[in-house]
Parts: sequence; structure tokens; C-alpha cells
Amino acid sequence: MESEWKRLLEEPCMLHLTPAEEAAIRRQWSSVLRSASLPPMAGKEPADFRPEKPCAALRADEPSACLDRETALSNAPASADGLITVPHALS
Amino acid sequence: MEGNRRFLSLCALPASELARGLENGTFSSEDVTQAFLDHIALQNPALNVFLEVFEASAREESRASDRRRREGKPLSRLDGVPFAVKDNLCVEGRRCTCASRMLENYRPPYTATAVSRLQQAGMPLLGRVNLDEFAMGSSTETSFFGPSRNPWDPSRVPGGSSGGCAAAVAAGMTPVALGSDTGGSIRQPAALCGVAGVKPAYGTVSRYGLVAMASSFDQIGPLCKTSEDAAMVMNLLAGGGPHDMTADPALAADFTAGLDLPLKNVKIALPEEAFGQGLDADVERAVRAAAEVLKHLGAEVSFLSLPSLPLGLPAYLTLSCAEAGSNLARYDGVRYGHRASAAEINELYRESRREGFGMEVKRRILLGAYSLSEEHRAETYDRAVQARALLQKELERALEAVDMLLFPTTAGPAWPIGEKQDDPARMYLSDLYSVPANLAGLPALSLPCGLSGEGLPMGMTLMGGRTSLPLLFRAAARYEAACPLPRGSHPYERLTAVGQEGAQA
Repeated sequence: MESEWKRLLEEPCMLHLTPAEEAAIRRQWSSVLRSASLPPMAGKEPADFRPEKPCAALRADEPSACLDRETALSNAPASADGLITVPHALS
Repeated sequence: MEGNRRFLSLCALPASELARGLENGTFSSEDVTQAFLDHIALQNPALNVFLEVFEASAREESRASDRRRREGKPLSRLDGVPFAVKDNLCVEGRRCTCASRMLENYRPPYTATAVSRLQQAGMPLLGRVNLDEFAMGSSTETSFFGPSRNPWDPSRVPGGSSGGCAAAVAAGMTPVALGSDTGGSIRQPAALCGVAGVKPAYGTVSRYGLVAMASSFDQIGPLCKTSEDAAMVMNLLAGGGPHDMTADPALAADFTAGLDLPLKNVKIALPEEAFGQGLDADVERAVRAAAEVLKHLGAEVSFLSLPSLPLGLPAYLTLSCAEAGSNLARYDGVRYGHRASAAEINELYRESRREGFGMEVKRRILLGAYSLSEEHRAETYDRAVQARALLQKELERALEAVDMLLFPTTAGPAWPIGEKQDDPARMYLSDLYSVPANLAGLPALSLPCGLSGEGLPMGMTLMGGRTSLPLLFRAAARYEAACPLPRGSHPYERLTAVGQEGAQA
């Protein structure tokens, strides 16, 4: 079980944990899974239901202008020449 | 300051009375707003509710409101009545932190539709209030800025994740607060703080500008002293929006119409499964007593069975964590938010998220990934989708036979700070009664129904069909008029008296 959540942390969670956080997850993981574990839904398994929409109807998309570059960069942690800068991406 | 202390009694008034006083010229919006600003300054050091107070702009907005009144051009009934926002609602140019290190310095380039609706109605914005980090939690203890405290007993939690909102209203720091509710995050803290809180039907209020937690669950709603106040605010909030394709204009209504109509022929049912093991005896007594009051007011009260109710919490945890994990994937240190130093891009993602997120957020991202993984999806996520559909259908059938359901909002009153922090499974149980409304997208309203043996507030929920919110407000308002909490028990009544004593010294 531990190797599984460690693998999930790498991909797709893209998360590292501190040693204290790892110890906490190790302690709590079974009880968390139990909280999210569904009892049998007697006689109502997969074939009987289709997913329901959360709302009455989704309206059609209405395209509108996106943020201008300056606004989009206003919260960027690092930028240069109108672009967001990031560390080395290609090996 | 001395002269303004005499206005601290304004902080005890509900929004509806503030609106009447403004209309009659009994006081000005500047008086009202300054009274709340003074009260925030008095109470915030102990309660840690406001993360930022917009003093200068709130005063300016209040003066603009007074100018409009003098010219006979108020923008709405609530013009000049101030409000506060949960700090996951964007206000252009102001920080929106979601109580997380990840967004500690983030300034949105736009304002949430819900916030701008209240601003366009002339309501001065007092500031932004504390929450559980990224709205994940039931106690406001996961906030990067420390927990907020319950004004009824500051050693206890105010609930969450809109705990700052509930505490602010309960303490008389604001008459109206805008919160968000994904699994009970408006209603649960409202119950623990003795105020009214509303989660509208999914699609009633535009979610544009609400930092997404679980997009098929999230809704914005008001927390106020009374359900009448909440109805007045809903009149401004409801009805579509240009930037949220799930917002439905057909759900707009006059929520204040008919509040004083009788409850004759209104059918209210109590689900049997909501009164089982784990429910505090005081809460059970209070909710059953409330049912008797509603019966006395003319409603037809009965019991019914909802066998799928126990599916709610596990289905909610699975689905909301899957959606939240997806929504929080955007916080990778690249375009906005916290960025760690790293030599390589993948290390940047992982370290930024390690440093930026707290423990509960990481736990829920992990749970979401687990339920969506190839090995577990069929037994977890897919079954949770079916459980959601099953519960939805069952609730729809029940609400064809009755007008609304009545049940406890929480299993017990507020607990001591720190008691459940290391036990997430126990913390998740706080949402046991509230999640069905989010799973089914139905409106639900929590209002106080009494005090526990320890003098702590308890809440009950009225939940109805998709378009039933006006009727829920009617039932709530009639109950509140018949059965208010004992006079002087609310913190906003007691704290105001302290302010007045201080002025006389």
C-alpha cells in the first residue's frame, strides 16, 4: 500500500512530502481510504445507472477575449521579454 | 473613536434592520461601516477572522452610498450595508490567498461575479476572511494563517471551510458574508456559530471568480444573522452570469416574497437515517423539537426513509477529491502562485507544490489520484458516480412526495481546537449530513435550532427540490420568528455590550 501512494505522489500528483507528512500519511492512509469506501449498493451496480449532470443544462460556449499578455504575466513568479521563464525543461 | 463606540450597537442588527435604518435616515452607511470597522479592530486579534480589512475603500464606498441616498438613488435595498468575502472569492487587485502559502501573494485580475453583484448593489466591502486552505476542511484549522476561533467559545473551532465567514457574522464583525459550499462549508460553520447559512441549488449563483475546489459541487452563498437577510442577499446573487456556463438564470427568484405566509399544507419530512448512531443527544432533541414547532405553525411533518443516505459521505470524498486534484493541478509554480527554487522543471513542480500546499490539501490530492488510478477507478470513482446518481434519484423521489426535508446540520456542536486535527477520518464525519445537498445539487439552508447543554449553538437543515429555495426561506423565517435563540445569547449581542461598557469607562 505504501509503495502505491508513493508512486501516485510522483505521478500524477507531482507532490513531494516532508518526512513528517509522509509519517502522517502512513499512519492515516487506511482510515482515509475507509472513509471513502462505498458499501455494496445491493442490486444497483453499474448497469442500472448513468451519470447525472450536476445542473439542468449547460449553455453554449460564448467565446470572449482572453487576458492580455501584461495581465496574464502580472502574477507570474518570473518572466522576461513578455514570456514566463522556467527552469530547464529538456534533458 | 469614543464617539463611534456608541454606534457599536449597530453591529448587533441584522442586515434587514440596517437597510431599514439607512432608508429612514436613522443612521448613515458611513456610521454603519465605521461601526463594523471598529468592531473588527476590537475582535480580530483574538478571533483571527479577517485576513485583510479594506478600511479606506470601505469608508469611501460607504460615503458614496450616503451620497446616493441623499440624491434619492439607492442601488438596492441593501445599498450601504457592508459585507465580507471568503478569501477564495476573487476581488480584482486585492490578494486572494485561499488561506494557502501557494497563493499568498496572488492578486486576481478580475472580480468574482457574486462579489461584483453585491458591490453593484452598493454594499461596501469590508475585507477578506479566513477559511480552510483551498476550502478543504471543516474547522478553519488548515489555514496557512492559523485557525479562526468560534466567538461563542474561542477555544473551539468555528467550523469550516467558511469558518471565517460564520465567525465574522456571529461576532458582529459583518452583517453579511459570502462563503462557498462544496460539501457543507457554508452550512456546517453556520450551525457551529449560530447563524443562518445557505447553499443554493447548483447553478443558482455564478461560480466565476470562485477559486475552484470541486467544480460539480461548488456553490457560493450567504451567511447572515437571519434567513430574511440571506434571502435579501440571494435576490442580488442569483441568476446566471456571462462567464459560468453552469449558471442558470431560471433559478433566480424573489426569495423575500412570501416570507410571512403561513406554512399550512407545507409537507416536511425527517429522514430516519439521519437520526442514528453518532448524533449528539442535544442536537437530536433540538431538531425533533423544531419539527414540532413547524407542525404547530401549520406544516405537515412526517418521517421517511432514505436508504441511500449512508452512501453520501464516501461518494462525496471520492468524487470531490478527484475533481479537486484536477483543479489544483494548475498550481505548479509556473504561471502564478508559489514557486520553489529548482534546477529542473519537474523538480520545480514537485517542490513548489510541496512548499505551497498544506497537509490536508496534499492528502485530498492523493486520495483523488488513488480513486482515478487505473487499478482502483472501477471500484472507487465509477462506483461513486453511480452512488451519486442513486442518491440523487432517491432524493428526487422523496421530494415529489414532500416539499422539504428537515435534519441536523451537524452531528454535534463545535469541538475544541486541535481535537480532530490529526484524525482526518473523524474530521470528514463533520460533513455527514451536509454532503447530500451537494451531491444532488439541491438547495439547503441551515439555521439555529437551539443551544446545547454547554450553551453552544446547534443547527438544523431544510433541504428541498431544485426550485424550492423560496419555500425553504419561508419555513426558516417562520421558525425563526417563533423560536429565536434566547435574547442576549449571541456573541454579537454580548460583545457589543462590552464595547459600550468600554465607552462609559
